[in-house]
Amino acid sequence: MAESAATHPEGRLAEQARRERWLAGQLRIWRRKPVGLAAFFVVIVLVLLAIFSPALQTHDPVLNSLSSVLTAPSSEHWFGTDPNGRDVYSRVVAGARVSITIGFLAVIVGISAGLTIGMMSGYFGGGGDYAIQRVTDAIMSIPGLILLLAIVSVLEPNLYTIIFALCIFIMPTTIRVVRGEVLVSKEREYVHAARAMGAQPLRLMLRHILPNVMAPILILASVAVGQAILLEASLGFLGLGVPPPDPTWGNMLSGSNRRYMAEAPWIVAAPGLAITLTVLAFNMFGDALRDVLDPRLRGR
Amino acid sequence: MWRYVVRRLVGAALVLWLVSVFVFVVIRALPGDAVLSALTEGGRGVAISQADLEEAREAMGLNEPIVVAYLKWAGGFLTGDLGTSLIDRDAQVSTRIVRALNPTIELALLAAMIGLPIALTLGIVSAVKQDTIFDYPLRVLAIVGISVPSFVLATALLTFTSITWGYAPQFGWVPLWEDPARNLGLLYMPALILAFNFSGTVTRMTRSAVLEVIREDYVRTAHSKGLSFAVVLRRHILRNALISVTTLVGLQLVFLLSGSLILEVIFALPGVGQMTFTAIQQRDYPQVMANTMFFATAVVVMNLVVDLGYAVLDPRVKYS
Repeated sequence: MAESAATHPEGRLAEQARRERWLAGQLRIWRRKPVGLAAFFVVIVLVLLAIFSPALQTHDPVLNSLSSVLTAPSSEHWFGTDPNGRDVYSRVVAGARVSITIGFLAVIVGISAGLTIGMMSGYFGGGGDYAIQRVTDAIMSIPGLILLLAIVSVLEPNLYTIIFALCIFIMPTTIRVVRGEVLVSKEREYVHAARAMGAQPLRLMLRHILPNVMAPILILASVAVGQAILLEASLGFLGLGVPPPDPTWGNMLSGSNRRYMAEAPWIVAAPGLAITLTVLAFNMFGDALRDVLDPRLRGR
Repeated sequence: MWRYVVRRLVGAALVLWLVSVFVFVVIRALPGDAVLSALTEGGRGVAISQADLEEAREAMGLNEPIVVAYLKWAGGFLTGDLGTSLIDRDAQVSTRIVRALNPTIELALLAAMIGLPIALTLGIVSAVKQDTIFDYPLRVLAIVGISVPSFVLATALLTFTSITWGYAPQFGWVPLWEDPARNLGLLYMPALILAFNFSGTVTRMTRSAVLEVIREDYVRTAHSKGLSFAVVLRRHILRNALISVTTLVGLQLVFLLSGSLILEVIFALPGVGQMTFTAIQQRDYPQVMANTMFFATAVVVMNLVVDLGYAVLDPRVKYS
């Protein structure tokens, strides 16, 4: 049979068909996971909120206004105002940018670093592996919040130091997960075969082992973003987050707001709900990812 | 088997040593120091001459090179002397920890006593009734449990009780044996909040452990032998699932100790978590070192217990 663009595996039409099949496959899987899909959309909304934050605010989040102190939610102030007369809705939207930025950056950097270290540690083994494992054990035995408090206090709290501290927190778990997967993958037959054919370690790691590692890493990433945002909010609550007047969800729940929270619950309800829904969304998405990817993880 | 035990013990000691070095270096690098903090009571702009500052630093031993200082601390640690607090000059660091253990341990115990039975039951029910009308709400509840930060839940509860019933729980601390009623009245809310977070995690762990066991062939065999579900559950499913659950939960129990930090701050409980937070703020190096070593030791010991316990509980596991 003569080859045409539609049947030639490298043809443009075939490529298009391949993409459409993949898309259809994904839709089929995710249609059965409505919760995961909903969580994914919440995540998208949050990211958009973070990116377009300034445009979506109705008022200046840091401008004090003594004339409208502690007003209830209305058409002008959608979530009411706080003890300084600042619009709560705009502050929540501004805080979204902080939290999402910190969460994503911390996870991207932390997991990339953890992935690299974990792969090398697992693949090459030996004394270096032992040392790295003990160091990760050490970091993991310090409670997360205390680790963050210590690091952030040393380096003065700001966006970058918080991200750095969160990276230190995320790396050990990542290294463990990656190393576990590498140890398993290393013994697979196709890796042995590739090595017998003369493949170099780098090629083995990237081409054969890495794809197996991606699934657990993606699940870990989703959960880690939620954890990072939760910890960042805890830091903010304790007064060691991104410093005022920048609004963060954590510091909106602390300090002077607590004195008025009984008379004006919206000043704490809005940020509290924001944190909860955000972390919930990432956790639920991670769960759905695990359900989708896990059967494949088991090598069936 | 014994070679494995020894290897693990050596590894554990190594880990603890690494923790001590890491925390020592980090804490020493803190800008500002205990002197400033102590003399100016939080740095509220009191004028002190440089000479006085230097003298105080010398007396507190803050001017030594870091390696020397670390070796001195390590020596003390190994002989049981953890030093005196830089802020609370009359108190031994270890004595302060022991005093602060009371609220922290009681809070952790209460949370565990409330949370564990509930979480285990819900986890088993959720797994056994997978994908039914019982499973979904339980899964949602569990995931909410791990997603709601403790301070958000605390704020929500405090606001809610205040608005609905005009009730504000008291803050503070009185030991259990002095006034049990008042003690429980002070602790019930933080314990419930801690238990909620704890249960979320444990329910999920239990659920996946039981699900894994349910799929096994021997369970199917037991069913097909005609055994009643209750018997299968007790004799096969739970016996095996609880092995991995016990090991996972063991570690979570230790995290209860440190997870109480924020709640101790909110509810004014003089526990170890709150002490650590204050000590970090005040640059009380010996106190921070001691507290962190306390938490780290608890985690490492629990890890060890859980690992070795697993070898004991699961007859399939053999360590060379």
